[in-house]
Amino acid sequence: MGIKVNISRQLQQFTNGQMVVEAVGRNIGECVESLEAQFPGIKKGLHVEQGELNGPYQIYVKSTNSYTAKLDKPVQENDELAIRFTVAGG
Amino acid sequence: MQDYKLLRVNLSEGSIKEETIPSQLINNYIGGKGLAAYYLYTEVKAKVDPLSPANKVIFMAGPLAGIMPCCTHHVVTTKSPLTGGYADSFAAGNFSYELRKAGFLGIIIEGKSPNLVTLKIEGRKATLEDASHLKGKTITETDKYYSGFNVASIGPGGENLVKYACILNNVTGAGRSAAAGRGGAGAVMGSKNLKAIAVKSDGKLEIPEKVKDLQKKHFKRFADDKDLREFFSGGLFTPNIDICNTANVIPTRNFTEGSFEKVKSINEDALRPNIIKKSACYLCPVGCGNTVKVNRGPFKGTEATVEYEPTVLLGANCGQGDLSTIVESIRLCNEYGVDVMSMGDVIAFAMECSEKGLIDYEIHFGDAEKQIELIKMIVNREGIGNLLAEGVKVASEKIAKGSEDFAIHVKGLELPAYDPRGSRAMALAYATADRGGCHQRAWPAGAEVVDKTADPFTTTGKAELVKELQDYNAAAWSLITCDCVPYSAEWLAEILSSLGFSINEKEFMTLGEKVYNVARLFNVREGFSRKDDSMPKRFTEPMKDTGWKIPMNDFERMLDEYYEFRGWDKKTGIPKAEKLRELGIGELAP
Repeated sequence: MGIKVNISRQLQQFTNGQMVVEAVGRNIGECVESLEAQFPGIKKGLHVEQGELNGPYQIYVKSTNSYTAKLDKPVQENDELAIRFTVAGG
Repeated sequence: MQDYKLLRVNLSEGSIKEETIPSQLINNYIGGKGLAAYYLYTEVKAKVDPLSPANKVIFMAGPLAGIMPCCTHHVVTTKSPLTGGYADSFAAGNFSYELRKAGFLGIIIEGKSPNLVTLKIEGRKATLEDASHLKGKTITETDKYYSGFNVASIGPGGENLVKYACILNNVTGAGRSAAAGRGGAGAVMGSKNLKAIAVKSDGKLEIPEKVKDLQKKHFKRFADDKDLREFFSGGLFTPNIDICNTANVIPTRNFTEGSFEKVKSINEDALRPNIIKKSACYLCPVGCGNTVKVNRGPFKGTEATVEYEPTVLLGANCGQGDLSTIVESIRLCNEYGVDVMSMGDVIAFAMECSEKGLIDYEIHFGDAEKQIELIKMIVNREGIGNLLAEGVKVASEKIAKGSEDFAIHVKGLELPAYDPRGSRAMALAYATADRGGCHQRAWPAGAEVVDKTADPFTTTGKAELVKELQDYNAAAWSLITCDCVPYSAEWLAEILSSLGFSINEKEFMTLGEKVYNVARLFNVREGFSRKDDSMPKRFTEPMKDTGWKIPMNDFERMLDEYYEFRGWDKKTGIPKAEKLRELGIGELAP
């Protein structure tokens, strides 16, 4: 069973406009690889370089975020991920 | 770790002293928001009049200023004359870099000068200089007078004690200019007869080799980030104008509607062709400063730096679709030194009062000339402007007749440009922001509206989201990083460690929670409690266009959950003793 991933508006260009997609994996990094297999280019769009999130995106697990660039945070089947553009003001 | 110093300036005595900040304090609070909040809480006594000599104004940079990219904001912290509570406001520009080169992390201003003065810092030498001849001068005039210095000054708004007067820096120098806009620090400076702080230094910051490598790494990371540069290429957060309009959360006609029929006249597509200048802070490859010049309309030829908030609050929220009127309004606010956001809400409030026949002054939504006239009246405290200079909370209490129900503020601070009826977590973010109605402590509208990665109408998970955003930002603003660029917790911990601080990524997030609680304690000591963590009554009523409203039960449930996550008492909203002890600040309990 897949893990539900909410895709940031800016990254929906890679998912053919889909706001919610599914991924599989035991941690965030594996889920990102799963997304890349389905939607080529999204990994670059996410600015994943040398195993780290290098750009303006953060990946939330349920509603929480550890504000980490690392992708080794474990995920479980019932988790819901959200990829968010995380500038802080407006 | 190196010594960090601050200047303590007592304007009553005319004295200036250099102090070394105790290393334990630096390690506990780092700088910026954290350190300034600590000093404010421990040095300003409870219940003092914010405009009396007993209040203090604290300018604080962070230890990363001039060292890491996108870290040159400074914070101005004080007891707010607008809310009576804690206030801090962050300004971009290079003031903090100049201050750090002069050898100081911060300045604490105390007392009141008998005459108008400027604090001049040249090299390491600080003096108080008579500024009587600058009385009534605008921000640009003052800035030009101290040509060659980096100047943070007040205008007539601060001198006339407009409760939402602000402090602007670097308006004529190279690079980004900006305001410490919110909460009325400009009025506190005015009450102390301090016109400006002018800093110039030829000093150099010592940067360790390891830190230079990190500087290069992160500079390249931002420079290569096309998404970031594109997002800010047309104005600060201006893409949000269309996004929020489509999502029906753009405040229109004093928050009665969530979409504006003239949005195409004021959105990013309308702004972009008018851009004449771009600017950035020192060591910033993004460059969010966009100055526009509007060449048509009743105020053609007017120029100002545009951002989302003032464009919407002085535009759609005032029913104003003429771009030249909006830009002229921003320009005037910046010249007079008053907060563009509060001003937008105050004018919208006055327009609704006028249309309902509650005040003896005629101004209608969309009235360009009257909008400009009213800004001038407020700054000069003329006629109805004298009352409106107090902000919408006090003005509505005086006008009464039901106007309190549409005075859009939390704790006295007028609200930013996101209607929470289409972004429920924003209601909680506004209610629990330490300085009153603010979007920069937590901005869940980013997830609910801009990204659309969270359901804007559910309350599930929102309390945790708001708390987390507040804690991260409180930590990041203690360093101080810019809110336009992302730094992860482990990167920031790595950078701080390389500067000799003792902190890991877990402790970084705890730092934010600790700092947020210090600000909360300040408000608790001033008498704020759960009843003040509220929202304007208007948000419980349907929007005219969408019919959306926030049921009080939903709001109260979010607040209960939030207090639980925070470790604050559910009845009172006061931090529990065990939470304060857990954060290592048990001794600060009031």
